This record gives sequence, structure tokens and C-alpha cells, in this order.
Amino acid sequence: MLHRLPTKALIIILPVMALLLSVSSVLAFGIGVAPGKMEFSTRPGGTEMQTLHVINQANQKSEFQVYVEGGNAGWFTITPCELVLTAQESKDVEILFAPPLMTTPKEHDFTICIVSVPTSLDLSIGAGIKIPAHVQITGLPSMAIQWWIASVVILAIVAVGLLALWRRKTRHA
Amino acid sequence: MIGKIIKSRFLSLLLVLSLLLPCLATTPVMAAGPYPYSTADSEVSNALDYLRGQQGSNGSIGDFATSAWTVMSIAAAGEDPSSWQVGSNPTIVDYLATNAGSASSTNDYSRMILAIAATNEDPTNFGGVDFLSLLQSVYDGRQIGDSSLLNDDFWGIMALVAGGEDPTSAIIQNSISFILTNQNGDGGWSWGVGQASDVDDTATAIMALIASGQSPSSAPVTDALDYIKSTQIDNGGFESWGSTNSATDSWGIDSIAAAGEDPTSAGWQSGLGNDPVDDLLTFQNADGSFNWTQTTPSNIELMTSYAITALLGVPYPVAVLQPQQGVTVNVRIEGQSGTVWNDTVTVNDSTIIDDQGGQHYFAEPTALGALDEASQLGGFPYVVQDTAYGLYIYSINGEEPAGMAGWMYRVDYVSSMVGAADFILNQTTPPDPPHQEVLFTYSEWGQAPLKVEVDNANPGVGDTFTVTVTEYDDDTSTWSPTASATVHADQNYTTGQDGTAAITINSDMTVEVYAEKDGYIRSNRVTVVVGEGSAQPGDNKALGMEVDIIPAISFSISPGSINFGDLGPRDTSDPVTVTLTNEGAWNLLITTTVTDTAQGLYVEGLKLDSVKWDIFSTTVMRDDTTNCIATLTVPEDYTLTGRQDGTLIFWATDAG
Repeated sequence: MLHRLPTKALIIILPVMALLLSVSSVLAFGIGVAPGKMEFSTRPGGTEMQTLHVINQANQKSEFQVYVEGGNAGWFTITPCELVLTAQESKDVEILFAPPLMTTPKEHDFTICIVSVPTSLDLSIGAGIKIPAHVQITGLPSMAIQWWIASVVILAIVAVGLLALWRRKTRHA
Repeated sequence: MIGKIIKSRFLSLLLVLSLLLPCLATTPVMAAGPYPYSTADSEVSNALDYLRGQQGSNGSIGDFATSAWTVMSIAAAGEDPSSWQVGSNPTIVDYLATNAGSASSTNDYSRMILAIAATNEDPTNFGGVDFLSLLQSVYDGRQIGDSSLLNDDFWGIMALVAGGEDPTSAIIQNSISFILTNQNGDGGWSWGVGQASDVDDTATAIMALIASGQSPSSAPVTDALDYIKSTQIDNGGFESWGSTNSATDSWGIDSIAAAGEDPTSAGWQSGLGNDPVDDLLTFQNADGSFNWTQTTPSNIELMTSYAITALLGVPYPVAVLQPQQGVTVNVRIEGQSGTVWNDTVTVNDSTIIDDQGGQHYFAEPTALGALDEASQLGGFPYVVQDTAYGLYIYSINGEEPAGMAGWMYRVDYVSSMVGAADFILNQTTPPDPPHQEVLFTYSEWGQAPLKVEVDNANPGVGDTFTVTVTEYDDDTSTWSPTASATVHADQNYTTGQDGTAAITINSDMTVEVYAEKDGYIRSNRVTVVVGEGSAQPGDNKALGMEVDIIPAISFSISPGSINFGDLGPRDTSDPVTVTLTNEGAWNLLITTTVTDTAQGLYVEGLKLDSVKWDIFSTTVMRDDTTNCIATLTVPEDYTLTGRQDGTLIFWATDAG
């Protein structure tokens, strides 16, 4: 009869609504990636693209997020950064590394995180993988930047020359 | 002064009493015992004793239908109905078997199957009656029994499930669709299509849905439970025709129990605190029996039987026989120019759709059902025509009849005299069961099937093995050698007068050996592995290479979530095992992160392998599996209640 008494409401409990008392789900979550580490090398203003292979090792459809941890994570662009994979499905994610033009040549370490996003109730369990990404920003700007700088310098020289000619003409006049 | 004080205290007492009185008046009437009741409780034991006292010398308790319901109640109480008898007279099960022939309607068949399942007897042969086939025979491809009725579908579904029918079968799933289509806007169901909802039929619909695998939390079920709740009146019972009665209360309680809820819980109490069990018990008489209403006894044995299952919390079907396992056979389809399909299938019931869209349901595993299954697995089409002589296989994989040639079938090489839709696997003869293979052939009438056999399926390189080709004679049911047959192996060979061909292959090779001959049906295939095998004919000059690359880092976790159960402050949960499996090429270092929206419940209280989650780490070697034990301790000062969600991520990195 105790179970019918209103005093039950006075007991501080954490009633978990699921039917089972312990483990509410036997679904397995899993994730696989290749390669297990990445290395990028480019000049300031340059780009390098690499591919990360993501595999859903779960026995059900799962949602994944890919992002970069580190001080200058904005140098990376990930496409797609969110993906949904069916059981055992795999997909390539493009990792684009593009340090800004004014970056000081230096080596940096980042961490690329790939995590399956759990959607269940209670204490959801997710699987994530962290792979190290070592980047080397070399001393010279990229070829495109070199051409751009050269063009600006040439234009500046031409402009100075033209200005000198114009002054000489006006002085003679 | 003293008088003033006494007067003041008296007035205070009156005030307190006036405040308490309404509370006392609404205090719920307590049931005599906790729900569900057991056979040790007098409410149930007295009811069972009453029924026992009503048993006649022929074994019956009440009429034929009531006896079936009583059998279910006896079984629900954990007793063997076959032991219920007066002296050495027939048991109540004997009575049902003896009178099995009197069942004549869809609901009769269903009730009998439910009772037969409760006695663990065979519903395909009870008292000489195949009740399962009778019930299946009234299925029209869409629903069971009368299409204007719904209650025959409710009980029909429960009966099929009880009788061992696979809940995913077409007959059950289509009937479920029919039920769901006819759910009323108020969430309830009626006895008939388009009629107003009532508790009795809504309750049986709930039990049917749940018996067929529908989740109790699905919208159709929860809507139906809401409807039942809406009919509850102050005495706790469910209103039917202006008042409550024991039958309606019983079925309502059954449906609540089927949904996994407690009919005595607060959610099932009326505004006055009464629940349906309270009301049901008001109908119980001193002798343990139950009236229909307070003033009308009406079939007391039946009402008592209903009440017993309700009090015990055992909804219908009270027992379920093991589902049919189906028949597994090989299906081989020999087309005009090649083998269309050759693999095993498992056949149970099937729904065949003819070229006009007509549906034909076969409860038994038939040869045509095997073709249908193969078609689904193999992805090739077939066309069936509904003719005056039954279903006719018109085409398979687009190959249509021409001239004297068309599609025929054989079971274990024997051509049957019945159509493929009527050949019940492992039952129809000839040939004798168990049946191994259904062979569909594009052939002319009278063409004999060939068969190949080899004397050595794994000869060494350069060894000679012998292939023997034989043909089946339908008239004599014997096999005889086939001369001049072409044997396909690494190259073509021709059999001699004795039906044999000697083959020698001088390199490692795997070949599929089969035979053909004009005017005969292509043979089976036998795989011969010469030496190490692997290379196929024509590929023997190339070196095949194969490797499966596994990811550098890959792992899986089970389970997908943890429910730590009911916990209070200072409580520590029971340990829950989380299994981590390394499926990648590298050894893994595992760490964790935790987030929650529960005021730090998980962040503060979660431990893995007895250490706080942020300290936890473990290494899982390649191809290895490790378990970690999760526990949750609720902080002493934790103030939130209710379900609390959080996320635990296991992070894997290269362990080097």
C-alpha cells in the first residue's frame, strides 16, 4: 500500500523515466578515421588541402562533427564540418589549411577532433577521436602572393617614373 | 479568564478540524493489497476458488466461451488448466477440445487460440481443429474477419501472436494498419468502423497493438490511454453506458498493465483518489465471485475470469507460443540462357501480388512463397497471373513464355502435381519432407533436369577428377547417366555414354562445374577447388591481390547511454559496465569529457573505474576490448529532481 501513499512525493529522488533500471540502450557507438595524424606545410597566404576519411562504426545512423582545436583554429576550413552517416558508411572530409599572408613562419600544433554526437536521453555516451595536426608555415609567401607583390612594385615604379616625367615637362613649360 | 482561554482553544480546534475535514473526506480508499495482486491475495484466491467450485462434471465452467476465458485466467494465475477437473472427470481443457467444433466465428477462433496458447497446446490441431488456419482463412489481405468490425481484428491479432505468428508478418502488420486507420479522433476505438469509442474496445486495441510489438509510448497507444483516462469517474472505474462495471474495469486495467503502467498509481486515480482497481473490487462478492454491476450479476463466471487477469496484472494474450521459424530451402532459378538465382531463403507466410494487383495471402511456407522471398533478396522481378487453375508463374526476371516453353517448378527435382502456391514446403508430398531445393525452370513440359556430381571436389593440381551427369526420369523417379552433355569447368567437356567426363586441371583454380544439354534443364553447380584454388578460369595468368585496410584509429563503445536508475542525494548508483573495443590499427589512449545540464551532477559525481572521469584514462591495444565501470554519486546538497541528462564522450588518441 505504501506505493499509493502521497508521502512518496516527499522523498527526494531522481526518477529516471526509462523502463529499464540500468542500461537503457545497448546500441554501440563507434567511429573510425584515417589518417591517424596529419601534417600541413605551406607559405603565408598559401593553402593546402588534405582529406580525412571518417567511418561510422556504429550499428545505427550517427551524426558527426569535425572541428579543430588550437590557438589559430580559424586557419582551417572543414567541409563538411557536420555529417550524418548510416551504419558502416564512410565519407571524406576536406581539411583546408590556409594561414594568413602576414603569418610569421613557424611550426604549430593543432588537434583535429571528430566526434559522434549522441542524441539519447539520460547520460548519453559518444565517441570521439583526436588526431594531431602538425603545420609548418614556411618563410616565403606563396607564388601567387609573390606575383601580387611584384606587380605592385612594378606598378609603383611605373607610377613614380610617370610622375617624374610629368614634373620635368611642367618645369620646361 | 480561564473560560476565555478554553473558548479560544476550542475555536482554534474547530478551525483546524474544519481545515482537515475536506482532506480526510478525499483520502483515497486503499486497495487491500499492492498491485498487481498475487494468488496469495484473498481477492484472487477467493475468485479462483469460486471458479473451481463452478466446474461441471464435463469439465466446463460456465458456457463454452466462458470456459475458454476461464482457462486464460487459470493460466494467468500460474496454474495448469489441464489439472482443473472434478474428480476424474474431464478437465476444462478436455471440455474445450471436445467442443472445439462448436467454434464458428472469427472471434470464436481467436478466443480459442488464446485459450489453447494458455494451455501450451497446439492451435493447429486442437480437438481436431486447426484454429490458426481458420483464423488465417478469414484474413482478406487487409484485415481479419468482417471489414466493418474492428473487435475481430483486435482479438485476431492477439490470437495470432499467441499462436506463434511472427508479429512482423503481413497478416499482423496489415491488420495493425487497418486498426490504426480506424482510430477515432478522441484516441479510442469502437467495436465497428465509424462507431463511437468505448473503453472495452479501446482497451483490447491497446493490448493488440502492444502484443504486436507497438511501443507503449507510441502515439496511438498513449492517445488511447488518454481516452480511457477521460472516461474515469469519481469511483475510479471507467464509465460504460452511464456507470461502471467489472468487465469494463477489468479490460481497462488489463490495457494499462499491458502498457507497463500501474493502474493504482496517482495518474490513474480519480479526482476523489479512487483508482479502477478500487472500483473493480467493489463488484466482488463474499464468495470471491464478481458481479457485472452492483445490481446485475450477469455471467458471474465470466466476470470473475476477467477480474482475475486484471487483478494479477496479466493482460491478454496471457501466453504466447514460440513464433514459427519458417522453412529454409535453396531456390535455384534456371533461365533460358543462364542461372538467374541460386541461394537459400527462409519462407514463412507470404503475400503474393498478381499482375492485376490482387493480393493472395498464404499462411504456410509455399514454393511460390520461396520464389517471392528469392525475388526480394535477389532483386529480380517475377509476374504471377491469377487464372482459373490458380496462380500461374508467367515470367521471372523478364523471361516470358514462348511457344511450348514457360516457367515450371520442381521440389527436390520432383515435378509436383499442384501449383507452386499450393505446395507447402516440408509438408506436401511427393517428394518426402524435409525439402531441400525448389527449382524453377524455363523449360518445356517433359524436359528432364540434369544433375552433376564430382568424385573429388578438391583435387590437387594435375589430378584427374570425374564429373558424372545424370538426368531425372519423372515416370520412374530414377536417375540415369546422360551422354553427350556439355560439362562446363575450366573449359567445356562432353560426357561419354556413361555420363562421365574426366577433367584434369594443371594450375591452382576454383571452378564451378555444371552441365547443359539441349532439351534438358541446366544442372546444379558444384564448386571444385583445384590445388590452392582462388584463381578463376581466364584469370589464371594474373596474380590476384586483396587486402582490407582498417582505419588508423577506430573504436566502438557500448552501450549508447546509461540510465543510473532512481537515486537520491548521497546515493551511489549500481556499477554500469561500458565496453570499449579497439577496431583500428593503432593502440589507443582513451580519455573522457563530460558535459551536463544538470547543475554539475555528472561533472561532479561521475566516476570511471573508481576515479573521477577527468582523471580516468586507459589504453586499449589493437584488436583488444576493455571494460570500464561507471558509477554516479549524487552530491549531498543536490537540489534538482527528475530526469537529468548529460553527455560522456570517450576520446581516443594514438597511444604510440
